[in-house]
Amino acid sequence: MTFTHFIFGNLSFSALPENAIAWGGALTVIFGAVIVLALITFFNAWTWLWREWLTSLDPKRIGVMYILVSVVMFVRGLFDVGLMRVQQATSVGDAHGILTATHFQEIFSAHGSIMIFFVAMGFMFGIVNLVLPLQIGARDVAFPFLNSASFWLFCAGAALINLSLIVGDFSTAGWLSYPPLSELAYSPTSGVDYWIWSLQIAGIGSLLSGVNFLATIVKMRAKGMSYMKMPMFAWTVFGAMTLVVFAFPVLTVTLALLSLDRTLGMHFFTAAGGGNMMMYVNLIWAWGHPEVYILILPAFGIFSEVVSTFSGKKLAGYASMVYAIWAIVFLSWLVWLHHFFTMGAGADVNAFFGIMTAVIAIPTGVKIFNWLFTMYRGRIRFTSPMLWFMGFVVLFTLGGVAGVVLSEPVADYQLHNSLFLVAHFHTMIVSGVLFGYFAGVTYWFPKVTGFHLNERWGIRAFWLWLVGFILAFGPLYILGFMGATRRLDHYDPSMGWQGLFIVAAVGAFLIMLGFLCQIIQLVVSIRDRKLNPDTTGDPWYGRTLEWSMRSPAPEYNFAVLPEVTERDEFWVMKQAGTAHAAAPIYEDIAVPRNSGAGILIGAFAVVIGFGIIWHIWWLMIVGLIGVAACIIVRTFDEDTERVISASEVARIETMKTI
Amino acid sequence: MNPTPTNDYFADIGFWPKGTGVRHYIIGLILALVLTIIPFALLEIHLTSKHETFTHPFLMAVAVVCALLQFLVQVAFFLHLIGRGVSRERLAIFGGASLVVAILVGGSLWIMTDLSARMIAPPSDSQMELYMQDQGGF
Amino acid sequence: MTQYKPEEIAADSKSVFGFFTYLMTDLVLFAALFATYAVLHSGVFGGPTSEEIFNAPFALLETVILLASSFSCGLSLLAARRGNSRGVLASLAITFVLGAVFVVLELSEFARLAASGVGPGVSAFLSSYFTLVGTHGLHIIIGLVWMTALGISIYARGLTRGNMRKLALLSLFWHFLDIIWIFIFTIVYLSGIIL
Repeated sequence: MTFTHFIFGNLSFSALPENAIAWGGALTVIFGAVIVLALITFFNAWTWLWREWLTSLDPKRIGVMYILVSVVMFVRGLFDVGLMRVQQATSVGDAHGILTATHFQEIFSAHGSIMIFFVAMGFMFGIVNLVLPLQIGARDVAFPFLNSASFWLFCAGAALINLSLIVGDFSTAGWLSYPPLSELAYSPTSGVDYWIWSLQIAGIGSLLSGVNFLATIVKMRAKGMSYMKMPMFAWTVFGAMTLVVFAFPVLTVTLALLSLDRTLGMHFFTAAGGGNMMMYVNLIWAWGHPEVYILILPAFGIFSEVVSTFSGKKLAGYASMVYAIWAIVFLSWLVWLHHFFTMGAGADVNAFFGIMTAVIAIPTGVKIFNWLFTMYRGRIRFTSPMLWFMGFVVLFTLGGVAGVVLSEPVADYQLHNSLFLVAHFHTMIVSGVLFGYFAGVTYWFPKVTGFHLNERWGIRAFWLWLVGFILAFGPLYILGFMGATRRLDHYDPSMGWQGLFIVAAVGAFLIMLGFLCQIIQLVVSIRDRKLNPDTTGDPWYGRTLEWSMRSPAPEYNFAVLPEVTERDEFWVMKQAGTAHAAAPIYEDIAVPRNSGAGILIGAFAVVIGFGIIWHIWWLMIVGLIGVAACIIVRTFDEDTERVISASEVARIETMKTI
Repeated sequence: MNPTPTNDYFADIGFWPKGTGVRHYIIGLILALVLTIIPFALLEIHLTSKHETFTHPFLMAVAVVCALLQFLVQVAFFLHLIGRGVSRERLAIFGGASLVVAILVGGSLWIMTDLSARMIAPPSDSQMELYMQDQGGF
Repeated sequence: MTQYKPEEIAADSKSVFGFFTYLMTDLVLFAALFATYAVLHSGVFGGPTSEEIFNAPFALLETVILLASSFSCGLSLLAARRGNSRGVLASLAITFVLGAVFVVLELSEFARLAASGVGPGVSAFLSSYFTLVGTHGLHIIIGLVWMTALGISIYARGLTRGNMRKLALLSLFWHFLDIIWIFIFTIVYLSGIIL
């Protein structure tokens, strides 16, 4: 090995972007980063940023950062959408659109990977961080430092997948990288390795977050809050985190085995050597199916909160909602083969998984009926969170019915990997996961910031998303029945598909306008924050504990830890007139000290990933030693808390916030 | 949720039930040793004798049963998950994990053997080797 | 005996639960590796099979050593309960030595195999064997590093509450690894020789 090869591994100038659009992506990342760094420097904000945000162990801060990263990654994911929609609307017959086939493949692979791992998961963990401790009457999560480390591992994964725009390429093997295409023989470049390591590192962060939130729910509920008195959002997080804890190790193993094949020449999934590539598909979907329930359950929880608050009624069928969550958690382990009915299993295997897939629709149906029963005879306020719910309930039900169609193996033989499938899962994720998280952000925004989001722009965003989604994906259901498969970068005009693809492109454009409205909404809301303050801490007349303190919630959440005797304790207290104690007795409160070790671990994780991807082994070792050192030094640190004195608590409780 | 502290820190934090003592570890060690030695001994007898002393399925069954029993022994005596005063939450998580493990391993085996049974007989390894050499390898 | 405050006990109880939850994720991780081994162990690609390379007495030796180390780890907890920091360090040292011997034995086995051309890149069977057993070995090594750090901390600071808690977590980890080993020696070594 030459000295240059030792230092630089497989890096060379040919790793830089190859065409105009690729350069566009690279330069956007570079200039975006430069502009952000320049702005921070210009406003002399480095110390503030470091102290108040980057090293904070406060889950309310970490939650905001998760959501901000998700929004940035969402921009990239939407860009991918634009490119794909333009390509599929124009690449017909003699025309070949704006992208080469390879580039198109990289883009749809990046789109799916980013949307699932860095938008949906990030958004979810962000909202859980912001809301869960408040809802269960706790001051923090179970392991605050682990929380920070998990967030920075998530960022490390995002950093790597963005680095792939600048140096090297990305996987062309879809968002799940099936072998043999993802093996070294057919993907010899750095692309699949970027995919593997950005997901692996972010996945470890997710796994640790799952452990953290699970322990938080089990061990840190307020005194008197038995499980059956928890808010429904907390229950859905309980179910989702149970899934995280049991599913993510399978992803870790599967990604590791693929990387062992690629990097160390092993033979898990190669035909040569006696491997079995179908085992990859089996394992990745054993993780992949629980993953989609990990994403949707918290969204269901948000809807439970939103619907009951804006109907002015308690949630219908609380117990059945809880059983439905655990039915979903259990059943999600018994359906994963429905993602590969066509891989060739026998009728008995396919039938079992098909039946289980149909069955898992039932608990979701229970939840939908309960939300509707909650609305029935309620005093409904059609705020934007409720609008998101209503868009969800119609679209998700229809998309779910499409799922039941797909659950039938014989039908699936026609529809597998068609645009019908693509339309189905986007309906689930957009109208379910995204609409739910949008509703949640709007709902809890005042609690986190102390002011409201601008409702008018929120409503505009909703309608653009709703109409845009119907236009973007309605045609895809039809195209699927017409025989269009997914991931096509070119087709013949005789198929008669182009018109529908053009409609879909228009829909995608409307969605982007909707997203733009959300950005405008944020900017306008910040500009107008003094005009829309949340002065009471309870802007929606809510039912649960997070509304019982001022907005924004102080660092320690509760000046006096609550004691709970009922479900919807805060609502009960308000009806009884005991919601705000006259003169609470304050005590000293211990909160975690800030720590820079989290961001250091994330930085070293990027180094590890980059080193392995480019076969720069000394760099990988530096990264590994760095991570190990951070962890070991942290474990020797005994001074990890600081005390907020009782008088300081009193001052914070009574100060004006906006 | 806050037990009155006793002289047993480990019991207070829910690590082991009160009254855990060295006898638990000794019983665990002895049982585990016995359950380890039985399958190895039977295998050794089988291998060193001139004729087939035991059938293969029998040896496998003994090995698997001893493994599962030793698993329970170690879970009970070393991880302290069985007995009075055991931590309910840890038992629940352990139960959930065991269920997932069973589904994952059992399900994967069911699916993959089903798929394998439906494959055209693959070329023998030597045929494959020759073919790959002919193609210039991977 | 030190009496700890209720909130300290609650915090440490939380740590035990959280770490145990992490161990359950590790259980699923090993299950995925076992599933892979079970599916791929017949993929020998004309190369060495399990009965050709596995040695029952060797596996038995490794098993007994690990079992003994599990026992000595338990002794360290019993010593800690009595406040006997010397006893803790002595049992931890024994545990460390036994664990280190285990690692050395395993590494020498891997080296012997690799030297005779039987490496993980030869066949799917060998890839899954080396990865499954190697992952377990890697966990043992991490446990040894942890044991060293904890030993240093106990030597320097005594049986503080933090050290007591970490000892409990380490012992959970160590016992868990022995439990995984039960399945390795049964499913990999024993059945590899029997079948």
